[in-house]
Amino acid sequence: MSKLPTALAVAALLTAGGMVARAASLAVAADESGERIGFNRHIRPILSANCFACHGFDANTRKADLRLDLPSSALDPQRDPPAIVPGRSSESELVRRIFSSDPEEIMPPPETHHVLSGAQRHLLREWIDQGAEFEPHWAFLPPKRPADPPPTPWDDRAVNPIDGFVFARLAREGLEPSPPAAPAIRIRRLFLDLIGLPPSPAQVDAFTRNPSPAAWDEAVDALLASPHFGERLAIAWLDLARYADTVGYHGDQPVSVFPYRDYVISSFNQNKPFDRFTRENLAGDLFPNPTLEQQIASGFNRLNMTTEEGGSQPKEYLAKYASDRVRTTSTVWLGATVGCAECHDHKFDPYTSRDFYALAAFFSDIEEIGVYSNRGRPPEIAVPTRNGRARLTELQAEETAIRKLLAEPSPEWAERFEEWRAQTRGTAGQGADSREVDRGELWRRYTGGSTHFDAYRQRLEAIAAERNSIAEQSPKTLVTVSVNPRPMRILPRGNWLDESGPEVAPAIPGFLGTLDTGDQRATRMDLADWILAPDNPFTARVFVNRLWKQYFGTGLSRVLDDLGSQGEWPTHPNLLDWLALEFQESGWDIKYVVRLIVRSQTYQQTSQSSEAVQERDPYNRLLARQSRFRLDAELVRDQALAASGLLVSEIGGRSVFPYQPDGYYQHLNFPKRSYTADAGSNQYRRGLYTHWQRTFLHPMLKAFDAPSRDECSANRPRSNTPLQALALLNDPTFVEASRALAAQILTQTGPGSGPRERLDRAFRLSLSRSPSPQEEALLLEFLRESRAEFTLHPERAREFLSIGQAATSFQGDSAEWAAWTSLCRCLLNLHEAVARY
Amino acid sequence: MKPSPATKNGGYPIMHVTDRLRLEVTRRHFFGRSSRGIGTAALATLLNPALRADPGDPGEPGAEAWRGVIDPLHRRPAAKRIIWLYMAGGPSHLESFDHKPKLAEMHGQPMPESFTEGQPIAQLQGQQLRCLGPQHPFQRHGAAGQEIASIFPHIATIADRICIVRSMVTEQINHDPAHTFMNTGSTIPGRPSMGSWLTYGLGSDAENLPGFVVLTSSGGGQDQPIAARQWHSGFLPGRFQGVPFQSAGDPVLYVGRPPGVSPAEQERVVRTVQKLHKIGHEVLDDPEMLTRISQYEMAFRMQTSVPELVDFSSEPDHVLNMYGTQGADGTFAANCLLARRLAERGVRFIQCYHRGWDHHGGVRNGSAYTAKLVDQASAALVRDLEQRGMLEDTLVVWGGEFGRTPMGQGDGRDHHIKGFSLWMAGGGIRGGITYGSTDELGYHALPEQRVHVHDFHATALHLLGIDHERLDFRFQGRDFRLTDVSGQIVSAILS
Repeated sequence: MSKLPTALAVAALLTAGGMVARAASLAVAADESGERIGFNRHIRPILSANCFACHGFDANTRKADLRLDLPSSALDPQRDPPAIVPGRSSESELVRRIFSSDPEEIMPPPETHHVLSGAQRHLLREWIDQGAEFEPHWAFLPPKRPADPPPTPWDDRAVNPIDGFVFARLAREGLEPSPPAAPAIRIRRLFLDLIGLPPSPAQVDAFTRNPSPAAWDEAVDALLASPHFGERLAIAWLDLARYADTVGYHGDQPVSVFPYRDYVISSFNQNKPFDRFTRENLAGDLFPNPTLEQQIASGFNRLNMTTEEGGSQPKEYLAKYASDRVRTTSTVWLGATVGCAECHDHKFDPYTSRDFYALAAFFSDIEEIGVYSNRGRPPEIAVPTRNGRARLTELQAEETAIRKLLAEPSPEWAERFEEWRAQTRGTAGQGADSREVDRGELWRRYTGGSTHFDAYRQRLEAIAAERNSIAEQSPKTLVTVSVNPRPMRILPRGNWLDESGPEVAPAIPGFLGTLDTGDQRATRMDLADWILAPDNPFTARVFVNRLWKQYFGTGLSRVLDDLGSQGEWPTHPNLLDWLALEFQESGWDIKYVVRLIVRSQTYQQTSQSSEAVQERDPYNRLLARQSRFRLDAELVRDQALAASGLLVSEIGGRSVFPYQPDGYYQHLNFPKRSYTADAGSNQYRRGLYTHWQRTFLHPMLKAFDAPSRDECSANRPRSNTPLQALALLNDPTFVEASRALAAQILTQTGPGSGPRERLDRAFRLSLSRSPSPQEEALLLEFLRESRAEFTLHPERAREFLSIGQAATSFQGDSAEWAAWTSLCRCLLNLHEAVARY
Repeated sequence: MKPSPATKNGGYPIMHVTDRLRLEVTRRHFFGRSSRGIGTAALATLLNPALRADPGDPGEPGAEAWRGVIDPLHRRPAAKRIIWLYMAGGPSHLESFDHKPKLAEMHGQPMPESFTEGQPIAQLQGQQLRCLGPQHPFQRHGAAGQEIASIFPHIATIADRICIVRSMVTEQINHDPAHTFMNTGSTIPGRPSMGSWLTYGLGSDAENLPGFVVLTSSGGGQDQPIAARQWHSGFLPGRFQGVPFQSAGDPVLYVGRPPGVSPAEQERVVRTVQKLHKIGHEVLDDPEMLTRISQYEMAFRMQTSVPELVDFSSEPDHVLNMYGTQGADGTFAANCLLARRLAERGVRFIQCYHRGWDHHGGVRNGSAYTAKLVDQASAALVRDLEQRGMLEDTLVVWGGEFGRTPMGQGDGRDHHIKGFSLWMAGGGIRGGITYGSTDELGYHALPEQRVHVHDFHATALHLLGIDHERLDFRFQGRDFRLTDVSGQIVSAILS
């Protein structure tokens, strides 16, 4: 106890221990520590959670005409009695009411079920005594370049300012950073985080031999340049974009939009600046002469669920699609829950119902209908394959040449043409106005009459036909096409049947300003421009916060989809702002920010926790160590395929169908669905290419928390359930991978190798490390028992070894192979194999 | 804390380990160890809420069985579990539990506009609306004289056990969003279903089975698709999602051993995985590994408990005959018996969907056909529970996502949301009563006793000891509830 350093500590004790009597010491201690109570950090969360619903933004539910979010109302001296008198808590009605014991008077009222803790009440009182200073919500102010963090004893270890900010906080908390993780763990972490695939044993060895900072940097650069980088980063974006391969509602019919997924992967691989990426997603169709890529990107706006259920009312569904786009856009770029303002003004943030519909109005130019039929989701375009595109280029060149030929005489034809012209002068079609008939027109007449040119004309027809056929055979993708905007009304209480609300024009949320588009209706491009404006407070913070989550398991502000009042005060506000500004000022360079993060000492720390750190900061928010967490569902699959050597690491293409239990789609209808697992190489593609059936997502992905993508989702939970255990144990994908891994080990290590050598290989392929003596003893015993079983029952071995389509390369003793397959099953079932440390 | 002897010797009795783990995890994850009173960690948590126990991951680490966030219960519970016989597609209230002689009189005549003006309409949009009289006769049953259509002869025999609610209303007129609304209280996907809320709030008594199980059967109507979002945990942790049982293949996905793997070999694998996790935990000190151990234990137990569950050979003939089933074959009858077996094993929330109630055409034969598929087993379930003394703490619900129009759609009926019926029986419900009514043509539920979906949810939660306003979860900055911002308990139907 004697260690407790600050007033804040005392306040903490008040909550935890209920030692209200010690409250008096609070003010003194606060002064000593120099830490004042901050409105945003300490007070706003209390008011937001307990008071704003009745004394906040929503005019419809406001009580006593009092707003505690606004100093003009909260501090209004005209109120009788005044709610808050700065510096004088004893005269403040707020204090009297929160300390009242009268159920008629106490705030918050009992029926709200909100109860202020003793410490919260004391904090409010103390804050008023300190002067009741309000601050605008932090996330509504543009990021500011923070002052350099104060020096710490560990500055010589710092790689870049990330470490400075983290170390400074640790110093303040009386903690210290951890040493770097062991090289093998560290390099595996980097591979999993940047490309989602494990390093090969040779790559681990190379780094372990030379774990220098230069070698680290080299590895970072190599992985950032890997084509798998885009695949890894795409997963989170596809969750946000609610990318799926089916329409979602009712019959959940298939829809082709995978070119959008490939666009995302390739954009991240090219390190496309995030501002360009954003504009292409929201308004790719509004670029002048949009490229194919920009059109594909505009499919973002069409990834919402749609219906073709009989008896659906188009207006109702158009309203659903519109609100989906508001929720999605505001979550993705603003980290804001504007969706809450669909039926009423937002309770906690200053978004009004008008703001909701004004945002929706940006999208009301999108060509769509409420209720579709027969699986079509127009407008869509054909996206030729690489071969198709090459052929189209050839055809284009040929056509251009022919058209040129038909448009004007080439030198070799000039003479004959002039002869013809002379002969025909004055005949039909070349009357008195012949001087005005230009030479090109005459040439067209000449060629039109000449059979010699028939072949060219036929060729043109053939080219057109071939082009059509390429388009027909090419995969389609949904695109945004801008049409005359539908009127957008404020729907009272969100009721689509009620047309009494006023019409609204596209606009950004009112409290954040207005767009200056002159007389022009603001477009999605204008919205994108505002999202990317240097003073937009959200975009950069939201993005780097999500990146941080990918590399540390939790965002600097934990609530990835809400930076508003109800979100979380960031653990490292200065670091968040610094990263946000680095992101913006680097030209929205994603790889630059990723490189900053993974090069930092903070990132490279061990994830092992000392008891003290574990007790103090169990969720590792202060970053005295790295975090450890389970991999995303898709990567769980990828690990098994990669370790076994089955992985087909082709990038992009149509979605694929891994093994799936029979009958899983039996409750789908309109039409009834059957599932045929892919044969051949498509069976071994990475998890992110799995056919995303929204209503029945592949059960292995679902078990590992992949979202159905019905809605934009910013944050996947990480559960740990028996269904995950069942999937790893019994899903044929993992059994087959075990078989292939076993075959690989038996073949690679050669017949003369002992089981120890083989076991070592198995560990290195699946876990990037060697077994401990304890593990070795355990597994060699396991191997003996398992071998005995399969020797006794060769028919079981045969059956077991024929799971999955993969051809086998091992011709040796099948009991031995089956036993090793069993052993590999054990390894692929380990938490360590599906987690990142 | 000293390691227990069980971990020191070479043997590794799995069951013992769980207990030890429970202690270890508890020790690691609750700050204040008794010897030091309030640990230094506590100070960091108040002024920086970020350091508080992460509300996004309740139950993690989850080596312990989940006992629910509501402890103690808000009130004395009348029921411990719910079995919901979910009639998907929209059973016609006019051919089941809402007798409308006036509609018979008006058969073939135009539907008065006063009823339909400004109302949402599904497939009958733009068509002339004519009354379609009830297609099956009604009789009074039981001591209380409950009116039930002739196509439900078995349910008629439990008339005194059930409370018929004739005044249900919902907000969504198409199947998919209406299911989502009925299950989650919202039309926006991504909200937890009722079963997830209940298992989150109360945990489950099932040792070897998930706390929320979904069974589905079909036949008789258009076989409406039922999406997995209907039993999804939404923003609640994944462990609270419903586990669907399949009628073909493995009853639970991936519960079956791979071909060629004997039970002994499978057990060897699982035990070895457990031991490796234990070794790994000693090195890496990762509590998730402990959770993994307990989840593998549960998974391993499920590999025995699930086959045992779906094996009806222990059921006597008279029970099988009462339900009208011979084995777990995916029929509604089999699923009802399975539901009772799940209830016996402590499962908190069981949904038996039947997908065959969408009768846009031929409602006379269609409803009779589908009724035949569900009637006997529905009644049998109530009787069986009663005979076992389980009805008193089991809430049985029978109903779908909406009803059907008094107007004909040819010889069928369209979707209808302004008034429809369901019934409930068992724990805390007054049997033998009918609550609420619709107008004389069966269109609008009369306002005095109208039961909105939120009211139904509030009442069901109430019966299980939960104040629906106090079961909430912070998501995107808001405390969400199953009942959104409404929900009135329907006290009149409580015993």
